[in-house]
Amino acid sequence: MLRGCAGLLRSWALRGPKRGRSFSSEVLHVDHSLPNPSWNEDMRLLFDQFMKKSEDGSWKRLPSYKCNPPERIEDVKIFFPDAKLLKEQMSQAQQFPRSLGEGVGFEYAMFHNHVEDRTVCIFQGGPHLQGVPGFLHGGAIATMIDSALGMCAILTGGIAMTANLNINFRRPIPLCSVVVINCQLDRVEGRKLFVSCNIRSMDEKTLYSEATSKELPLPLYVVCLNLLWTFLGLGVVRFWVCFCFDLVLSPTNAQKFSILSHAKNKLKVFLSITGREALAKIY
Amino acid sequence: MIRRGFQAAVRLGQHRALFGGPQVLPRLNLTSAFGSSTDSLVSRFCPEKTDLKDYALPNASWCPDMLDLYQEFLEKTKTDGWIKLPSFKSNRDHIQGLKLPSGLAVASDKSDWRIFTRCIQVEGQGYEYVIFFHPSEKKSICLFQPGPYLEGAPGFAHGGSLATMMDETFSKTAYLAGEGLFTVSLNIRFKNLIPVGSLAVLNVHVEKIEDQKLYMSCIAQSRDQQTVYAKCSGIFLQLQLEEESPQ
Repeated sequence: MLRGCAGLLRSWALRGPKRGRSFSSEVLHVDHSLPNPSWNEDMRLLFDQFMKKSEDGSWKRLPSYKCNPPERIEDVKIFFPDAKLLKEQMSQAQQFPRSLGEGVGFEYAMFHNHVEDRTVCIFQGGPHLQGVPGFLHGGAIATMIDSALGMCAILTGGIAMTANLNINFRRPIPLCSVVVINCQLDRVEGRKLFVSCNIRSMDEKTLYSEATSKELPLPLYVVCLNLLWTFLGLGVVRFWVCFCFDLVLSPTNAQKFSILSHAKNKLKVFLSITGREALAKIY
Repeated sequence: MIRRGFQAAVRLGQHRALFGGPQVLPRLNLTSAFGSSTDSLVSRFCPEKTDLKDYALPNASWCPDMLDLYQEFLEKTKTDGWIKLPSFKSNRDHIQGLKLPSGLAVASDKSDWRIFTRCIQVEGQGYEYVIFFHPSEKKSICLFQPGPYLEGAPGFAHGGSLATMMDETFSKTAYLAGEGLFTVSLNIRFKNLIPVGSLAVLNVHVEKIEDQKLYMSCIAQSRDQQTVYAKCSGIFLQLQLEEESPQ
C-alpha cells in the first residue's frame, strides 16, 4: 500500500491529479505549465525546443496544477498523523508557487529525461517577484530551486522532503527574464538523495546560481513498513508462482513430501531471496 | 608585448562575473560603514510621514500568537531600542531618493512591480509578517504566518516560502546594519514543517562584517521555542546606493 502511494505520487507528477472532491473542477484541471499570453518570446522558444525533444519519448513534460491532488492529501495523513488539515484551509489552499496570478509571478514548465535522469525547468519571473528593484527576489529564486530539485528527487526516489538547501548566487537575475534550471541527481546514500542544479541564461553563457540539496525520503518507520510489505508482497507472489511451476514440472517432488512441508521449504527459500531484493530496491 | 598583456588583463576583468572579484565592484565608502550610518539608514528606511500603505500591521487574519508577540515587541520599541520596520509595496519605496550604482540600475521601472513577499494581496492568504530591528545589537526578529496560498505539502508551508522569509529578513537586516544589498549565499537546514496559519518566529543575528560581506545567521522556531523549523546562514554583499540626480 505504501509502495503504491510512492508510486502514485511519481505517476501523479508525470500524469496529473484525478478528479478531486474539494476543489472546483476548473481550478483542478488547468495545467499551468503550458504557454499563456504572459509568456515572452524566449520562454515560448525554449518550450517549443523541449516539446520537440519530447517527440522521441526521451523527455516528458510535467503537468503542474494549482492544488494538491486528493492522493497527496491522503499521503500526508499517513506520514503526518498529527497534521491538522482543517477543511476550511484545504478548500482555500493553493500550491505555492502556482498561487500567484497569470504572468505576475512564477511562469514555469518542467521537463524530465528518464534516460539521463535529469530535470530541466524553464522559468520566467514576473513583476511581483521583485527584490532589489529590477531584479528577482532571492527568495523567489530559492523557491524555484526548491521546487525543481524537489521534483527531481521525487521522480527518482519517490516522496521526498528537503532537508538541506545550499544556494550560491553568482549574478542577480533581471525581472521578467527567462532562465533555465538544470537539475540532476548526484548520488544516493541510504535514504538520502543528493541533488544539484544550476541556473543559466537561455544561451547558457551566464551562470546565475548554483545549488545543492539533500532530500530525505519517507521517515524510517514508513521505510520499514514499506520494506515489510514489499517483502511479503514479492515473497508471496513468487512463492505461489514457483510452487505451481514445481508441481507442474516435477510431480515427483510433490509426491515425495507432503504438500505443506514442500510449501514451507519453498517459502523459506523465496523469502530469503525476496528480502535481499527488497532491501536493494528500497536502498 | 607588455601592452598586449595589459589589454588582455583588462578584457579578462571586464568579462568576469559581477561577483567574481572585489576589484570589479565600486569600493564601499569606509566613512559610511560605521556607527551613525545605521541611524541615517534607518531614518531613511522608516519615513515618519508617508502616504504609502504599510502592510506590516495587524489584520483580521493574524493568529492570537502573532498578535500577542506583536504587542510585546511594540512595547519594546518604546523601551528597549527596537524599531518596527514598515513594509511597502516595493523596495523602491524604502529607498526613495537613492538608486542602484550605474552598472546595475535598470533602465525602466514599472509601477506594477511588487516586492515578492507582498505579492499575494488577499489578506491572510500569503505572507503575513512584520520585522522588528535592533540597531545597536544588529539583530532582527520576524513574526511570520504563512497563508494557504503558500502551501507545499498539504497543510504545511512550502519550503521556498520559509526560504523567502529568511532571505527577506536577512535582506532588511543586512541593509540597515551595513548596506548589504545582494544575497551571495543561503544555506538552509530544514528541521520541521510549518503548519499553514501558524506562527513562526525568525531570529536573525549579524555575526560579522568582513571583506564587503555581511555574515548572518537565522533560526526559525515556534513561539514557545519547542519546535525548530529551520536554521539558516546567509551572506550578503555590501553595495552603496547612489543619490538620485535631481530632475
